[in-house]
Parts: sequence; structure tokens; C-alpha cells
Amino acid sequence: MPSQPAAAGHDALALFEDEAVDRFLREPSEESYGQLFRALAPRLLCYFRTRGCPTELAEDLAQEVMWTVYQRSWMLRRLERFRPWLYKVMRNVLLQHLRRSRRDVATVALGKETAELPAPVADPLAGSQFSEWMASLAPDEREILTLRYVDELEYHEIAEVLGLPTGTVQWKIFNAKKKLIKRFGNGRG
Amino acid sequence: MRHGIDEQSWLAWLDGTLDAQARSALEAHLGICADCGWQSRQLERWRELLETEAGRLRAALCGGEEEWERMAWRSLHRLREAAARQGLGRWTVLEALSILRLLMEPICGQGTVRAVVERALERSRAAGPALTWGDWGRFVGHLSDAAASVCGSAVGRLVALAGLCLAEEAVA
Repeated sequence: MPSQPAAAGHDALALFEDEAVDRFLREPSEESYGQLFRALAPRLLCYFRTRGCPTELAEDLAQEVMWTVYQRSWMLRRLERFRPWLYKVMRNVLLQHLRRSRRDVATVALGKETAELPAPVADPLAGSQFSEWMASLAPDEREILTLRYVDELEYHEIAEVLGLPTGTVQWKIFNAKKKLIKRFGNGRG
Repeated sequence: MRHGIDEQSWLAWLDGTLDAQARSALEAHLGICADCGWQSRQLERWRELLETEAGRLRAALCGGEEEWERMAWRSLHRLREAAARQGLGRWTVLEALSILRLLMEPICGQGTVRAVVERALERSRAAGPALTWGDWGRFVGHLSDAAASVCGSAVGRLVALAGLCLAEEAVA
């Protein structure tokens, strides 16, 4: 059974993912699905944990995402569409979870969808400089910078995930960086 | 707009997509303007900082091989359970195929439907003559493509969505 490349760099990991996705889209089977799951699991866990989900919840939501991938990925024909589509699925699963949990707490006002994404709170994030920086930004900027730097999506992929023009994504990243410069100076302030 | 440089040019320069002439002009300006030079260095520094810190965060949060293996096993177990339930569902795979045919015939005509279904079946069956739920996703994908090419993209989309609903309802 192929496993993640040991001490792999970003390019090797991306290639490993692409190969697993390509194989699953061409020959969906238990084996190719298992390989796909192992290839995508780090990305899925990281996505949900970065957005404040505790470990167990992140695992459950990752399972939901992969269930959708298994059921619906045959509608996708092109490998390059997979990553934005996967992130849309992850985002929808997270928003559905947040809506479900908020139904139980009637006093919490619902804001815009992007504002529903919580600031990173889980333990591994507590001492993270990245989280401190993100906490100083607006929710939509936080989401875009996280997609860009933690999830490593290209501008056009972020645009597709969020339904925004690519130029808007670039502009928001540029402005968010300017805010960070103003707030934290050289990054140690 | 600042010192004659608009934000679009800054964005294109930072992405490396600014055309050569505009890039030379902007870089010449950066060489003589302390404010803009400082801003460009800060933006570059923050790109590096964000990449470094995000990389640390990613490494801390993405779990380990044991965790991924356990999750994959759990997911495969769920798929097997669902597959077992599908046999006891509302309809069999052949009944689902009949429903799909009935949906398409008034739009595409009986002969066309027979032809596109046959073609999709030939391309989808992994092993053996019978269509199974395991082949269903691939079959609907091929049928959707064939229906789109013969009867138009709207019919292709209808077939894809109906196929998906039939598979989901089969285990509901």
C-alpha cells in the first residue's frame, strides 16, 4: 500500500495527491479510494483543525467530506478541477456543522456565512504566530489568507472556492498584508 | 494610487505578471523612492513570514500516518456497510436503470435512449455482464456524456443528477 512520501516536500506531496486523485477518477475502487483517502487525510485534518475544530470533530468532518468525494467525484472529469471542488465540499461541510451546532444555541446571532468561520482556537494553535496574525484580520481576509498560505491554493482556486473574481482575491490578500504590516510592522511587533 | 503606481500594478509586480516595461519602471521607482521601496520589502518579508508560519502550523495539525490509516479504514468500513445496505434498498440497480430510461425516453426518444444506454453500459462494467452498484457512478457519468452529446447539455446534466439521486435514494 503506497504511503505518504517520507519527509516529502510540497511538490512531492502535491504529486502524490494528484496521482491518487487521477487514479481514483479513472478507476474508482476500494483500493484507489483507500489510497486517495491516505493522500488527502493530512489536507483534510489540517483544514478543519486550522478552523478551530478539535481533533475528534475534525476527523468526523473529514469522514463526511470523503463520503461526498466517494459519492460525487464521478461528476468531475478533470483532475485540475478536483482541488477547488474538494475545498468547496470541505467549506460546505464545515458551514453545515456550524449551522447545526448553532441551532442548539438560539441566542447566537447568525452573521454572514464567512463570518461564521471561527477564529482558530484549538490547542495546537494557541502559541502559533500565524493564528495571532489571523485574529487581527476580518473573517473574509482570514479565510483567504488561510486558503492561500496554509492550504496552499492558487489565486484562481481560491476564487473558485469562494465564488469571487481572481482579481478580488489578489486584492484582498494584498490589503490583508498591508494591514499586517501596519499592525505588526516587521512581524515581531 | 501612490506615486503614480496603482494597486493593480503592485499586485501584478508581486505576482511576477507585470509586463517588462511596466516592471522596469516600477523597479526603477522602488530604487529611488524610500516609501515604496520600504513597502515592497515589507510585502516580500510578509509573504515569507506567512509561508513559514503557515508551514509550521500545517506540520503541527495534519496528523500522522497512523491517524490517516485509521481514518481510511473507518471510511472503507462505512462504504462496505453502505454497499451491503444498498442490496436491501428501495430499488435494485436494474430498477434504477429502468427509471433513468423512463425519464429520458420522452425527451430523447426510445431508440436514442437504447443506443446511449448500451454504449454507456459497455464502457462502465468493470467485470461480468451485469451492472452493479459499484459500476453505477461510472455508468451514469458515461450515460450523461453520451446524452449530452446527442440530446444537449441540459439532458446530460439531468441524467447526472437523476443518477446521483437514484443512488442516494437506494440506501435512504
